[in-house]
Amino acid sequence: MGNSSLYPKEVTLTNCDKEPIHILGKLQSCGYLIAADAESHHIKYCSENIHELIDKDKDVLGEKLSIFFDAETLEVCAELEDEEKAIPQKVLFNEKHFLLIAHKHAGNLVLELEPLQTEENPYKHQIYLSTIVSELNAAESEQEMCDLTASLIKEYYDYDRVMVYRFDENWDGIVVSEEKEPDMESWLGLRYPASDIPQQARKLFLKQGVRIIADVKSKPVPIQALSGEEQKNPIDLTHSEYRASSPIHIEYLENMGVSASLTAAIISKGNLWGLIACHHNAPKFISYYKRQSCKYLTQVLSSRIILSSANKALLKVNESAVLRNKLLEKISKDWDVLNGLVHGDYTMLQVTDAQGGAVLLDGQLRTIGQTPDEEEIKKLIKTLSRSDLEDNFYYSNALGKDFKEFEALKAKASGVFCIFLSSARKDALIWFKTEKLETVNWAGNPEKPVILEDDVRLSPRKSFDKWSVLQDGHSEPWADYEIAAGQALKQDISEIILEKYEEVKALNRKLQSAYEDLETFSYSVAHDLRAPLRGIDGFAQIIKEDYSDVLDDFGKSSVDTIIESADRMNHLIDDILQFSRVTQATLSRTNFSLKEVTEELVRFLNVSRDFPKTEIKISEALPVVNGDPKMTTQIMQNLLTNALKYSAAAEKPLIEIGVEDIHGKPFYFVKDNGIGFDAERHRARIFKLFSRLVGKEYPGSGVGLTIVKRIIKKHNGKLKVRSSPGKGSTFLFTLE
Amino acid sequence: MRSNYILAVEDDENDITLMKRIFQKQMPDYFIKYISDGEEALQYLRSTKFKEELPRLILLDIKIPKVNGLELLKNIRLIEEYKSIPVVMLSSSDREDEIQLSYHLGANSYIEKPKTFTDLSRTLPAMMDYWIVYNR
Repeated sequence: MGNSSLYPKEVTLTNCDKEPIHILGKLQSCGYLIAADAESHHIKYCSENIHELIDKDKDVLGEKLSIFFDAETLEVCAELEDEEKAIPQKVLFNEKHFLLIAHKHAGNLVLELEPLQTEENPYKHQIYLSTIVSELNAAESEQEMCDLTASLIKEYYDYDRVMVYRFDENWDGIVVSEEKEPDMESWLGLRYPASDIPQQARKLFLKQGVRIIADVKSKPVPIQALSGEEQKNPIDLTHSEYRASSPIHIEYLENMGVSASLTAAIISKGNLWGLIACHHNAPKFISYYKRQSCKYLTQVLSSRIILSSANKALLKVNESAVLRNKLLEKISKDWDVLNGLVHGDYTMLQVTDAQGGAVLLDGQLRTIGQTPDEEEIKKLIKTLSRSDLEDNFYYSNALGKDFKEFEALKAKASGVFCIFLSSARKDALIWFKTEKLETVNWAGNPEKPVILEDDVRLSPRKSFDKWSVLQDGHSEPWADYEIAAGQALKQDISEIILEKYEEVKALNRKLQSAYEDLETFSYSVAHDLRAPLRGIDGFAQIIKEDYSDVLDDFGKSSVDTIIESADRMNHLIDDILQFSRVTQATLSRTNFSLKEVTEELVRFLNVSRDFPKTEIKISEALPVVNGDPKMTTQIMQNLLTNALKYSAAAEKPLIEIGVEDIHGKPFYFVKDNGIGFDAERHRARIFKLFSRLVGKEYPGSGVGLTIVKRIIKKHNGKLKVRSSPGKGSTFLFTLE
Repeated sequence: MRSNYILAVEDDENDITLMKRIFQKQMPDYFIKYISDGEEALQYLRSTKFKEELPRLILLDIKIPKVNGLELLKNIRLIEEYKSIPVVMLSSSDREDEIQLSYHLGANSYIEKPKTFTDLSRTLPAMMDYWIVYNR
């Protein structure tokens, strides 16, 4: 017999997902089947009930089709492509009329016979259909379309219950429209778990379109096969009109109290959007033409649904695009992406239907609307950045399901849509949707889709009583247009950031070249000032040396003033040159003894001659340091000359040079007991170029400390100052 | 024999006057020949090929009109008779590349122009001391 070994011995609900329902090897008793090799026309399979039409004594298997069908009929079949169905033909068997529905599949020519009960006029259906199509076209909302479809089918096909059943993203189904006999309990709004319609059944729906079970209780008819190959390879009934249903499905229907059913697939963009499911409490056969009408009707509904959702999406997309453009226009104006996204009339919140939004850019976070607190958002983004994401974005309307640790955020962030701006996954845009508590009405307890029976096999649940569950941790789902809008915004933002980066780079180049110009300028100006200054000083010296006898006292003092002024000017030029040299020079680090350098400096500055009163203590602890020796000497020189200058008036001038540990870092210091200054007030000022706190009594240009600061900055070091008026100053620095 | 004179190529009149005074005071034995542009200096060098007329020392300012000091230095070293004459570059700049180029082209010394007359009066005699050592 035709029962194949491929068919699992024990089909239970645990393996129901694997049940090979297209090769069940049985046919519903309302139809007849003969299948032959498509080339040779040798009959390989036939349904057992074929003998109701053909003499029992007559062999069918192994015979040629031409014995049973005339040449004209078979000619139509000869031209079929694989998986193609022929236009049905009327045939006569034992003086009874049948409709022959032929199709080709996997090398087999499958001929199915359906009894023609009454003379049907196929055109009647077409006329009827054209009127309902125009009605359907007038419907505006998806709900209206579904309701209309349900009522039209109810009216036309007269099933006890007609439902439009819609799948959600998890393949759970919900009854969105229903027409029923008044005495029946309503299933509208009920939800069915995905396991009720397993994935291979959904796959068949995509191929078959419309399918009936004429009588749930009637025993399916086995299909006989020729011995040998055919017995091992049961016939594939994917496209069969009367394929028997899986015993589990039959049981499922019986549990629901259904005797006959019709199911039509609503297909949107190649996916199963939902089903039209009709139930009848008594056996009910629907003819081929009526089935075709239903298929057509469903197709019209499908395309109307696609069109309607596309229009709806388009409207939303346009709306969101307009807002996005306004937002970008605003951001482009002041280049402030971070604040631009969350402040002002247009924000990232308007781009989607979310209730909260946040942007993380360069470690800085800005939020708008209802969001978790900043630390939580940062933690979430970090977690997402480490997750396995496709295309650098993540969205969910039940965050807590994917990430248990964020379940606590459900009030404000049950829904999360996060897009990273680059594959580095540092910067991100993120939207939040608040929790939406919802009562979900399941048809029976979805946690128990199966029950254990006789300890042997699982069977579908027997109760379809309403089972209400309060669903928490879920937000409104993210619509396609929201995801698209988020991605578009991300793209635009990335471009702005890139543009901004280029702009800054260009600006930096300009600044750099202006800076270099300025450096060259100040350098050459300073140099060029030398020549006239040399003249002023030189000729003043000549007057002083050779003509002092003709000058009166005022004349003599005037010449001295000229010489002094020229000297001051020269020092200023020195400092400016030194400053510009420091700025231009590149750092070259080596290890050298800071103590030796300092001692040499003290000798070089001729301290014992120029400041005989001053005591200088150089600590033995001054270590070997790593830095630019020339520049570090410059630091010490500038600090030391300052210390000498400002302590000169002290009773016992003392300068200490040493090292101090601050938080584990060595700070080198130059400390004096001079006039000091108010460090609290002038901390910033003393390091400014040409800025001085003292008058002419202390000569200087106000460049020295600026140079010190520059050099330390070049070393990535730190500079500290401690001072108060009359109590001396201490300058401390590090070289890294 | 070389004459007792120094050739100074310098265009700053103030500097010339000041230098003259230093030489008068500190090295009265020397005669100073001043030329204020590079082209003229070159002509002068080419016309003085008798050893008696050769200077003892050449002071070259780098920034001079027409032919600059470095160019002039290059030409000086091309003239056989001048190859052994010490050249001191005198410049208001202290640019590293200029200093290196000067030595590369055969300068014997490079000094940054002093800031004041007083400095100059110290520097020039020191330079002459150098020249004396050099000639020994």
